[in-house]
Amino acid sequence: MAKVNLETLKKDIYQTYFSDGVWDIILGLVFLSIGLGVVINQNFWYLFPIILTLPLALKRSLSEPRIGTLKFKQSERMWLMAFYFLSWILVLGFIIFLGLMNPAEDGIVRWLTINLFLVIGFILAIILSLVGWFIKFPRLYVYAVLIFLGFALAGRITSIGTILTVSGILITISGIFVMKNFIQSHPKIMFSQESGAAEQ
Amino acid sequence: MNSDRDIQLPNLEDVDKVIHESARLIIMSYLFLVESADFLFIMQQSGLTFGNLSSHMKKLEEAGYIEVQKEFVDRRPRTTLKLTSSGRKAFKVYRDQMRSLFDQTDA
Repeated sequence: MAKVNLETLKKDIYQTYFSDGVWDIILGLVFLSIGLGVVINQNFWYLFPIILTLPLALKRSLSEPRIGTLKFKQSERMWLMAFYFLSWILVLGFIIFLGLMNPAEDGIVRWLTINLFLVIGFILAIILSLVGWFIKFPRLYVYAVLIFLGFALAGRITSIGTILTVSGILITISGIFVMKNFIQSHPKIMFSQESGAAEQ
Repeated sequence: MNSDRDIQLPNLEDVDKVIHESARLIIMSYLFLVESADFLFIMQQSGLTFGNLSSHMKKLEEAGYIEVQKEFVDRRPRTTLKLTSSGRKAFKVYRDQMRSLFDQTDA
């Protein structure tokens, strides 16, 4: 009888699904576009719809012919969406909270205002780590550390724009390497229209 | 021989033979964890060959445990596999039977 461990299989599914580097590249491009926007004082928000449609195009053209497709369970999709919205709510909520408080009034509020980027970096790092833990995606822990350190150093050694740009470049390069390895290790598999048999 | 405690092992005749076969168990396990997956994904994950997966897929479909949907996407054939509600139920029953069997033999 085969020994089946559902937790291990689940981990395998996530690792296969995220082994193409698509989401690394998207995360990197989001940071890069925000960072570059701050550095050259140009708004790149119009690039966001393009960046956010890239996963669909890359998944369809690169990943699906190699590893196939799957649909996660509704409950798991809900969790991932919840993490995504939670991150925005926490970051925006924190900024709004600080805006409503008088920095001179309270010691903690004052500290939070002075260390705004450190706290935002901490929130983002926690959320990235939680997503990494949930989808068994260890590279997200490395990105979480990178982003936390970047935000912690923002304003101390260089500007937030430079930090975001450098983080974006590093994450994008990492994603490109992951994608290159994925393409090399997963040849395209086509199914013959007549017989349905698999061909590499 | 009877020990101090009576061990009530599940009758192995009751174990679902369709799921009990190792390749089909792997297919069912993957499909249990997702909403649906295509033939290529299951083939890659399970390490089964095209012919092997096809024949096991047919058996599971005949048992009413999986639903197979064939379509063309971008002029390429795609076969999507999904556990039916009776397949999900049968898998849970099988898992509970195996769990209770091993729990009792460990005791």
